Amino acid sequence: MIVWNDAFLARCDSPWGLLQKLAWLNATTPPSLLEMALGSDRSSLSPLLPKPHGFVDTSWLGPTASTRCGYHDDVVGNLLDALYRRSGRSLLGPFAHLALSENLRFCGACLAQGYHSLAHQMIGVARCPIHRTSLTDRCPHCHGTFSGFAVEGSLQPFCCAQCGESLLVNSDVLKPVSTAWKEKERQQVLPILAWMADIALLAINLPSSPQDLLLRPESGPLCNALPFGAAVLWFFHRIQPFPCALGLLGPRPAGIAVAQARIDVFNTHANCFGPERSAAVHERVDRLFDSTIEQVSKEIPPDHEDCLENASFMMAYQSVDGRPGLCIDPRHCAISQGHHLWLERMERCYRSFHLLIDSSGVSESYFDLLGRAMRSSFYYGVQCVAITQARMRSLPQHAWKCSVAFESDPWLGALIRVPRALPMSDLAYAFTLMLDDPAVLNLPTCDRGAARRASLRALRGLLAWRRSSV
Amino acid sequence: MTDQSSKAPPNAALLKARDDLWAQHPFVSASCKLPTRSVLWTRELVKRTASRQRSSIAMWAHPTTGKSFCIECLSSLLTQDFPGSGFFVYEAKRKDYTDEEQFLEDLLAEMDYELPVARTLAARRTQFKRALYAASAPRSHLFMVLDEAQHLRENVLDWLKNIVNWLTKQGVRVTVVLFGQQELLTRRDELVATGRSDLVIRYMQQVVEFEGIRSAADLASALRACDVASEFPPGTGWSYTQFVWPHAFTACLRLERHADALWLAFIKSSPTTKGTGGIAMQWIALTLSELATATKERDSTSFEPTHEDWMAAIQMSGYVERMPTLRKMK
Repeated sequence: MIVWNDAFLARCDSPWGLLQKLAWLNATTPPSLLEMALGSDRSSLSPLLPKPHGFVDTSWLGPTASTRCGYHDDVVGNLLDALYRRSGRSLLGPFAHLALSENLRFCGACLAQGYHSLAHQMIGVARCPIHRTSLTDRCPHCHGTFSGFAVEGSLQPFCCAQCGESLLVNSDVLKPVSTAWKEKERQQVLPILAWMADIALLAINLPSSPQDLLLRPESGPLCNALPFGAAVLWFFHRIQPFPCALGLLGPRPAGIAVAQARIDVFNTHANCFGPERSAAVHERVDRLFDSTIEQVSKEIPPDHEDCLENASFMMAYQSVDGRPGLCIDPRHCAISQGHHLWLERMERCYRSFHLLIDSSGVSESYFDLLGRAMRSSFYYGVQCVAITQARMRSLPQHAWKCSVAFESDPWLGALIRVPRALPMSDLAYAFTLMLDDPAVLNLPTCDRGAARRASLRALRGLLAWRRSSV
Repeated sequence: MTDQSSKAPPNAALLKARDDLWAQHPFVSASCKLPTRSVLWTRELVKRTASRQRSSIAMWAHPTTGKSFCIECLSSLLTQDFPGSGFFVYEAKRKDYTDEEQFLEDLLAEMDYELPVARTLAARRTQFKRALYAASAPRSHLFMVLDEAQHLRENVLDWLKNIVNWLTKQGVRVTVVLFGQQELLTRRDELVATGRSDLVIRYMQQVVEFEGIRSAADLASALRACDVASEFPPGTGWSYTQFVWPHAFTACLRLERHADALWLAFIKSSPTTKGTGGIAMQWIALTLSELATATKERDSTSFEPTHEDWMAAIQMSGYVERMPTLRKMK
């Protein structure tokens, strides 16, 4: 028998927290407990993976864990499952590795009660959702790094790896989870995990190089760019508001989204459509795309009609080129380029969303989120193009050409593939100017056909070059 | 569960379940746990004292009176009365513990502790304390039942006292229930004589005799449970009597009414003792098992167990050949 009682288990306990509790009750260390608890199942662990065994990506749990299903809380009978289900990848989806810290982040007041959740572990979350106190990764006694978000780390459960001090309140005693605490957790922590899982349902392409800095803190100096994980959360916040007030490190956006969509993160199947309804879901996605494109077209000021026409011409220009791509040129209309980028993105999204529906279930809230994401992305794209153009104008003309490849999401590609001559802090600054609310968006002035003329010139040049090469 | 006295014939599901699950029935397998009057009385006594932060009761009884059975019943009854509380049962060994480490190892083994037992005394103590602490959640109430408590010596009681003190300090309410043979009274006197009144107060403040089934009235309460306060299979609402004799049950067969007949049969089967030492629950369960097996095919609306049936069942149960607990001088 391994000593355990479900009274100590909170619904949103992180795998680290769960293992620490189990180790405390058994008066042992987390690594030795895991090793002993696994028993004959130990062979399923991936021995080749180096230590530490982290909880952001639990691939070290081996292939068997990922094939298990169900949300039962059999902590003792199936510890592997219990850990896997609570790990970042399993609970928060594919963005977990971007949003979660590898170092343990915690709230001192929560840890004193033996509580730690994935919401504490999110890099972009500034304050504890329950206590509203600042999150830290430092031991309050010795100020050293407390431990890693992994099986290894602390010598004793809930103790600092360096000074050995326990963070549990009341002379190193772990308390059972009270009903009041469960209620707080349900109201404050669960919505954050649900929010992240909900966002993960959208087929969002994020930059593949997380070292790029995207966002600076609100009112902070330009050089103090946020970590990538924090920027990612803020980015998601623009699609669906983060459910905890004052919880994020980034600035508060104007916000297209007005209402929260909710799903049960622990029971996603309850929110899924069955296969018999997939045809209806496909039709609904089609209608959503049509209506969003129509709505955005209406929101563009009427004096940009010429530019929009130009955008369709630019699409033809690309098909002639035979290779998808677009040059951001400071002489072109930012709206037409932004609109073109956005339409390209919509086309790609359309395909990937339909594939997503075929391959997995989507929740009811999915459509709401999708509409918000698509609409917001137009304004986001226009702003980015305008800012990029403004920055490029300060550079020599030979550095103006900025290729945007569509292999990745062009929407974000526009941001990460600008010439390196642009300082990263300036690029980060661009993000602080992004406004996602059409009511407050100050669209750049139109070039009144300059883009069209430039594009025609470029097309003529290209055709001439092709003829000569043939 | 309610007393179903309807005259409607038993439903097909019950008859089918009777055929399929006959061998598993608690009556047939002699594993039925029926709350006798003594058990219910003990339950009430424990309930009354359990409201205190730290309390203890010591129960002594003659051998085969049904102490172990009472502990089993208490574990389920008290779990209903105090949901969310822990229940730890330890059967004391007849050996002299000279060091605490060995004792703690035995305690951890008693609770099937899987992890390696720590090497140092302090670590072992921590392991055991935390195991009990975990068991007491979420109500923060632990029932520590020590069976064969007459084997617990002063040093062992001292060690346990430390553990109880630690649990109490953590806000856990600890109710210690000791069950032992008559020698438990001697143990109490020894503690008083050696000046360990602290242990007497801690463990044996109340010493009460646990009595077996000593009258037809005691038997009636147990048999009544077969009629109305029992259920097999769980969730069906079928009482033990209803399941074993479905047709007779619809025609108002109730074992409770046979309490006098059964008691008389026990007296007749063992004329030397006449039940004065009490009849252990074990014999009641075996007798009911034999009766069920013998009369399975006779179930009908007119079936009622006869005196001969009871006598035969008692004979088959082995009660007559049991080790006598009390011999009368010839």
